[in-house]
Amino acid sequence: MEIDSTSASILLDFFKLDKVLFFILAIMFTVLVVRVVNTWSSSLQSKFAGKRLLILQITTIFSFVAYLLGFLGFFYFIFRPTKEIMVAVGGSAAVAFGFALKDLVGSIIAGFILLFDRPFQVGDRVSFGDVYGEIKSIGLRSVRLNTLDDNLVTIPNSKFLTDVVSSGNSGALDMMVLAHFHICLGEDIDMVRNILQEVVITSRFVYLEKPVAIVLDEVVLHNHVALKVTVKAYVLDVKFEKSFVSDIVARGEKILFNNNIKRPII
Amino acid sequence: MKKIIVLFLLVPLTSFASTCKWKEVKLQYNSTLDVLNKQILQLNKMREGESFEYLDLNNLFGEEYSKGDKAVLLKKISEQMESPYKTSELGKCLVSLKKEKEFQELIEKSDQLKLAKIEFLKTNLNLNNVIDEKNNSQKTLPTLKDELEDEKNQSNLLKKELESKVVDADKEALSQISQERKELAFYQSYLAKTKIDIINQSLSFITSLETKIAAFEKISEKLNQIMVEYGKEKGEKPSFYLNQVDEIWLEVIKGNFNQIFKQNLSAQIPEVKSIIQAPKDKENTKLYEEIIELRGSLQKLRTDTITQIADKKNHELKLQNSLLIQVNMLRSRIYQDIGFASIFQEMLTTRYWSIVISELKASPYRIISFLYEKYLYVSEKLASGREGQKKLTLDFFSLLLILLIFFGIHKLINKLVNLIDDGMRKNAHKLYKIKLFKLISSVWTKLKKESNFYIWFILLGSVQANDLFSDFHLIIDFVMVYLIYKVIVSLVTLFLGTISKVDYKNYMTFKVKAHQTSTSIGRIYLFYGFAMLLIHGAVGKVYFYTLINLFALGFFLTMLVKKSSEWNEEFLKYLERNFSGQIVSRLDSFLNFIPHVLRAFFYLVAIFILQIFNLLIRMTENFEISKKISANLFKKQIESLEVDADQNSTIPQEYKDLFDLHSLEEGADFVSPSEDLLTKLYCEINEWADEKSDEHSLVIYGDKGIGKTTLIKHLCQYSEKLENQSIKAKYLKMPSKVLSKEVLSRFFKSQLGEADVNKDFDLLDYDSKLDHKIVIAIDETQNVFLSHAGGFEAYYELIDLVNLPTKNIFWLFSFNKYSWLYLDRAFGRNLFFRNIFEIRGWNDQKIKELIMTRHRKSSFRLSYDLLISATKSAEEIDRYTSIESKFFTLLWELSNGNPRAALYLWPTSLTRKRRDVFNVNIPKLINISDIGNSNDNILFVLTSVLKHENTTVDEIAQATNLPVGIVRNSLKIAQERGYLYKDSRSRFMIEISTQNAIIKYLKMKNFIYGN
Repeated sequence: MEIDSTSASILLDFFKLDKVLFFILAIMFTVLVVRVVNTWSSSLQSKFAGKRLLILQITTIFSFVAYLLGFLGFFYFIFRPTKEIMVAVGGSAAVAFGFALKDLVGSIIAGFILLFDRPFQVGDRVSFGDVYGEIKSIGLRSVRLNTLDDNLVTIPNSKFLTDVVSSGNSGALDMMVLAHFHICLGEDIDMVRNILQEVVITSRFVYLEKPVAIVLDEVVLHNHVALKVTVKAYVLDVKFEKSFVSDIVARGEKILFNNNIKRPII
Repeated sequence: MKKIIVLFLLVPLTSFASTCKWKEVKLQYNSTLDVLNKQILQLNKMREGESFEYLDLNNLFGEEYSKGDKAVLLKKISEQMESPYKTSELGKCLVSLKKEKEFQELIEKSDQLKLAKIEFLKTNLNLNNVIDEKNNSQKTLPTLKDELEDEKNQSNLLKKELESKVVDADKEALSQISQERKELAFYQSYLAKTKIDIINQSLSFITSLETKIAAFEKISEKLNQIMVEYGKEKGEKPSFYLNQVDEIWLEVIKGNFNQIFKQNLSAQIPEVKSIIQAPKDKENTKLYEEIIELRGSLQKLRTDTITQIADKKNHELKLQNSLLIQVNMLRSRIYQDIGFASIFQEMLTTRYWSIVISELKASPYRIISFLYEKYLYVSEKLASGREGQKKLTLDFFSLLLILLIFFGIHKLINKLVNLIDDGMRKNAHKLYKIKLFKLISSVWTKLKKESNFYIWFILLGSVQANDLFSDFHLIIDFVMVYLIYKVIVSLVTLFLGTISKVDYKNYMTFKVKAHQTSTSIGRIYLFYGFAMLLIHGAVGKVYFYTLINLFALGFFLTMLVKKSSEWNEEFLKYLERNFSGQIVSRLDSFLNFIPHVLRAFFYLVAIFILQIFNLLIRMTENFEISKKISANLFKKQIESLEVDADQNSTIPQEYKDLFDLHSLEEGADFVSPSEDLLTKLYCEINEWADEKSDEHSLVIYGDKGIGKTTLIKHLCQYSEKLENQSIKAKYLKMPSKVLSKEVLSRFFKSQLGEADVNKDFDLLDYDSKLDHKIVIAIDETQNVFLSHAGGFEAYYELIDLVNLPTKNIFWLFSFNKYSWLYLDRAFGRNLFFRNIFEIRGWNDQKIKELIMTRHRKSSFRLSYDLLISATKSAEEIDRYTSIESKFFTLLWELSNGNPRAALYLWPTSLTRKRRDVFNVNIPKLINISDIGNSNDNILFVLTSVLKHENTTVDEIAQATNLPVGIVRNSLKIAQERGYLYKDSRSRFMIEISTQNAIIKYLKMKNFIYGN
């Protein structure tokens, strides 16, 4: 009983009202600072469009670090925990985290790893499981991804440590896209190649600083052998990814048709 | 030890070049190992404080040890990868004799020595060179002890002998009946007794010195223990060790003062009584002569003893000083490890203040010791009789001579200063145009009054380390501090003179005010410098030193703030005059939150920062980036300039016509974009003309308005003028747009004079019929393609034509930069053309030349007064040239080195001042900041126009694959915003004035690419 009353007095002393209030204020201040920086970042992104992704990445890292260090730092400086309290709180937290919040803690640690390992960055086009879209934010707990049909998908950070994730542009504005065509065997391959090459280089979305490639392959389509032509080219901005593919396919189809290139019809 | 070192030195010198005999090599090998072992042992012992036998470290580490930086030496030894024995004759012999085991052992020992050296240097550095200082003091100590021992033995022997003589002399005196003889005998006995007294005094000094040496060794040992324990970091706090060293320091400093202030023992050495009268009795004459001789030798003994005593006292003083230095070094070292927090805590204790008081009391020790040294010297000389006095007189005259020499130098410096000043004034009108002279003259005018201080400062600074002046080192140190004070005063005055606008009206007020400020600032240094001189050596960098530093820093900052506030107005005016108004207003708005008294201080800081920035800009003014920064700063400075909205309406049309955009294409006004590029182009044409090369095509590309047309026209003229060649040139402008094979063929037929309209154009046939060589220059070649599927037919045809094996045709093409880069990236880099040259932006000088060549054709004059007043330039002398140069750098930056853009911008920067004078203002540039708000379609349209240079609505719609309606709308917006220009053929082009900014933005968004 005596021990209990001592622990209670330590806890009461530790969580004094003024300290708690001050801690809440400090956390509110941290949130405010992060919000201000994010707003400022948005205006910067529109001002320096070319560095949009870089600014987003810096802001994300800043928010992450501000939250993490802000919480821990303010806690330490305001409550000034003694070794005993550290051990007590640490031990309790470890148990609590271990059982109740293990996923949350796992995600936070994973988020920290994501920041340094950088398998993808904010603004990247990422494919994860069945989801494909643009990374909107990398948070303390989760990553938010905007799919091409404008759904916001939230994925816990810890998932990225175990599953395969592919990033299309790795922080760059441009990105390689693929467009597929199928033609019948026996068609003039050089002609097809030239036509598609011209279609790609004349697209308004193409980024020609990186090479255009046309790859040919024989495939079986419903028991028919056909020639699969894959056009590999870079789009000037990831936001035009689908527009670029559509442009190539639409114009390519039309010109192939005008040049009497036969397509496999099942 | 010496033998070992000599042997060690001889090791590498001994040559085994002829043959290696194991017997000799073995001997050498054993000796070397022995030496290495001893050195390792001794270095380790010294480091660990186990023994302190003197070791010549210069021999071991090389001359760098005493002359160079020990940290550098440590780095050098640490980086030494290979053992020197690997390449030594001994090593080679061991290898050739296949004594691998011995060789390995030698290398290992050498590595061990290297490690021992590294550890030794590290420990010594860590302990503030205490080991080094200790080693130096050990150098003379053993010899001194031996000498003292010898001297003591000899004196005791002599004393014993004399004592028996005294007894004999007394006996003889008492036994004598003759009064005269008796007196002589007593005098003889007196002389012997005096001699004993002198020897006794000498012995007492020997004993005193021996006691001192013993005390020195004891304290040294104590210090050694502390040093070793502290080095091992046993876990005690640094303050624990500092307390111990402080106790020793107090003991030492007390001993030092006692040493100086104790009674002058030389006064106790008995005088030799004057000689008694010569005897009348002839029998006593011989004895009398003996006595005179004895008295003479006694006089000599007395003089020698005084010299020896003075010498011993000097030794004592040196020992004490050496001990003091050791203690202070260790104190300073340990003190460094005590954090500031602990020091401030210590300040609250009485112990701290009692030591500070002790340090304060001890601080005059250096001066007192110096004076005491001189006093010892003088008293020794005075006591030495006539010889000593003679020496003193000589010294006095030497000192007088030195002072006279210094006085002479002073006069000479004054003469020299006057001479230089006269020379400067006389030659000013002749050499005024030389920049270097102007600079020297301006610096000289500002510094001449204080120049003798600078010269003295340099002079004394260079002789300070000379041994010749070692007796006056303290005086020189004080004089140096004073000279530095004068230099500071002069520099502060100079700085204040630079920032203030001084004229004959306010000169005297400025002088008084500046003198007060500079003296106040300078005096802080004077106080600090003198305090440091006092502390140095006697107190060390410990408590008192920290207090002085804090006090000096606080006092300096207070004075700086106080004195700065007196110059508030001048600082602000200077900032406004020299830097951008925007910077000053921002600084002002920031300083609104700061108390008024502190503002001037911040102005001062801003002046320093901006001056450094300016200096950097000036130093790098020939670099493009620096020019850009400088141009933008200038733009900021003059952007407050208000110009009439309708400013260039008053510019006469005939003047505007001179700057017509097409004037670039006129050969008469040709300005070469780059000599280097032109030489390369000439070279290509020459090689083709001389049939040295098979290459017969050349591509020039560059931004719109960069001078491509002018250049290819110039190249046409050049090829026609080539000596010993009959070359004709044909300049063709590709019409827009030539997109099919047939149209291209028709174009060539019409231009190259093919008569038969029904026949296809055959280039090979045309070539074979030519009776001369021809250069076909095709301008605006980008018109042969449109980036849509099927839009490259004419381009492919053109490439086919160019690649035909013609003998007499040289093709010269000009492409728009972004058309060329597009084609290049789309069809592979340099696939069809190998001679490709880019015309880059011109430099500011070329832009100036371009403008001024045209301006000189008119009778108008230019005035930069508005710009001068806007910048409030302080550089009275070169105001005009400086502003003119800055303006053209700005024009260059705004036009991005594009001559057509510069030609466009030039008239926009002019207003009419008088009938025949134009005012030059800020060039008027269209603001395109709203491009960021444009939708993607506008950007696609702009990119298309940029790629094709001139296009119609339909062509743009084809190239972008956008609906015509969207294209029309985008074109309308772009035209309204001033991005595009529509010509009489309804073809759209990028507006020259906004071209640079549009390209920058589109590049940033990846819409266009390539460099």
